[in-house]
Amino acid sequence: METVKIGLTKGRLAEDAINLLSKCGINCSSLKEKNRKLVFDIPENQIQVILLKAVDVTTYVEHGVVDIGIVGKDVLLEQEKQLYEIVDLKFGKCKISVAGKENFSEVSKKHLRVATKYPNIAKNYFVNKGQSVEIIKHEGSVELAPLMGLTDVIVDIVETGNTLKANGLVIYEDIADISARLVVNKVSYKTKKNELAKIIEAITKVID
Amino acid sequence: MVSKKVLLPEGVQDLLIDDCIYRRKIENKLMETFNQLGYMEVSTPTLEYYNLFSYDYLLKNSDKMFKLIDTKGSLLVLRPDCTIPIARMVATKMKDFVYPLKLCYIQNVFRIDEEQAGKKREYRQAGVELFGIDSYQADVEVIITAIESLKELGLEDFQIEIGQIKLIKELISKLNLSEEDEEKLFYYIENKNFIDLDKMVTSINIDEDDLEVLIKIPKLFGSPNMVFETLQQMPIKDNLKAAVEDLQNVCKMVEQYGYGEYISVDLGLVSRMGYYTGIIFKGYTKDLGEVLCSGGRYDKLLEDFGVTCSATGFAFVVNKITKALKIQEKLEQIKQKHILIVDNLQQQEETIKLLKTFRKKGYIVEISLLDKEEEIMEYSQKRRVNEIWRLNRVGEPTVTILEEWKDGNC
Repeated sequence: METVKIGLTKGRLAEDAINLLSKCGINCSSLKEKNRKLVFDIPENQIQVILLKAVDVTTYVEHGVVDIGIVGKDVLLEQEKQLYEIVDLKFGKCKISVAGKENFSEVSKKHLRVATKYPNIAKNYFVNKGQSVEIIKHEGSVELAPLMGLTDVIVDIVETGNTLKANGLVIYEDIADISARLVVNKVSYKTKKNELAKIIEAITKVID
Repeated sequence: MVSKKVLLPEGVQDLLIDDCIYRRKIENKLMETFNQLGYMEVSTPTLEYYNLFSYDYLLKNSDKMFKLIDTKGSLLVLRPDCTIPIARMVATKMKDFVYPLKLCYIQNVFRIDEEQAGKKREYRQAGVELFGIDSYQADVEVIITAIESLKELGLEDFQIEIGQIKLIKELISKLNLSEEDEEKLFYYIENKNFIDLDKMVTSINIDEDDLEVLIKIPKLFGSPNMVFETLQQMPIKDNLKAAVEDLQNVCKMVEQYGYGEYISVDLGLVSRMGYYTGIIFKGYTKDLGEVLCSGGRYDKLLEDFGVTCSATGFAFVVNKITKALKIQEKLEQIKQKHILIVDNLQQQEETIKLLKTFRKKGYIVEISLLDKEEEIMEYSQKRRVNEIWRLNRVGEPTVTILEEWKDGNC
């Protein structure tokens, strides 16, 4: 058996992912310790877990540096990577939506200004609608953009909608449902077939 | 603007000394193997007309091509693919050649990848194309070529994964989907996106048997025996049976060659290049999570150039092979004995005599262009010179051995 390398998205998704792995019988005690380590060896399960920023998970999986990754669908939609997207893990659920000020009446304006952390998703969505847009890449609190008059609307992740509400914004349209996905390197899926099949099977059982 | 003077554009790279040695060694070995298997080398220009490429190809790839405009205003591209230009060459200049026509090449290709992440925009492909044979024997021939080339390079633990695009294409074409949906379906199968694939096929009008096959196909990969056994229990329609049989025959014949350990099957294998029509394959090794080679049958491509001719082939990505060999520690440098002659007496004649005798033996011989002793020593150490021959007295050179030279060692 060979060691399987798993890349997890740091932060909230990692907590859910670690819970999932524990339920699959993987000893995650070292992962639950609060420290700054990024690489965790779990020799008893022949697994190595690496904590990464969301966008790096897909890059690491694509290049085969890790075999498996757990990452949000939003990241997969934003950057088309060469990898297998195998299982919907059904946690980290949210939506990616178009939102803006409550009384904004020009959603079908000729040229819409959009602030977003997801320029590709936003561009594809509006291009398919035939809407001409100017996309402004925005890191951090995107809600500010329409409030301060930087853009007409935003495209962002909406979980509870509380942040939007607190800032007087409303959802106009939903673009896609988001949840965490299990992604696999295209070569590892074949060369470590048995090792990966075992883990994937265990995970599928737990989430069903 | 200073940065543009010292930096390189994205996706291209300089190759320093060792990289060049390895590349040349690998490429020479590949070309030698191709030649021994009866392939003849050809070369196409770096520039081609944009219009060489078909509408379908451009639809998917035009954003990824480097374009230039020549003095007459024609749109040109840097070679984005080796197969299409060679197909053009065969259709226009080699039509009356004897068939099967077996060609090979080592050329640079240029592609713009939007998302960089270490992806190259210029890289070398070494490949073969086999024209004029439509039976599965030709598919076997090129797969064997791939296997033998990798073996010759000393690569271990590699797999050639074989698929049949005809199976998927026929299943999907029967569904009468919009072009966009077809594209999506291919994408889901290619990326084994079981989630979206299930969602999509259960929402379209499809007969139950085909639905089962379509959902199961991307999950069917592994050893040929296992795959074909599972396939037997599936409701494969008669029109698809020939495609499956082809694949079975290919695997059987490769096994008869004694290369069974190097192949596996993935029925969900889809290739980016739209021109493939039959058996397709990809090669990789456990040590490197990237594809080393890909290829397949493209029987319709030459029709773009007004010729009906079946064809199949594949290409290695040379730098991926280098990477894999490096990881497996199969790259060794064979260095010739290296001699430095220091002529302290300005004895041109004697120096040249000495030089010529060493050259004849095939050694690397240099006449020192440095005078200071420390500089000579530093140069010799850094260049790993084996022996320094000093002409201090006429007829009696003194020899300093810096590094014992063993035959064939580095």
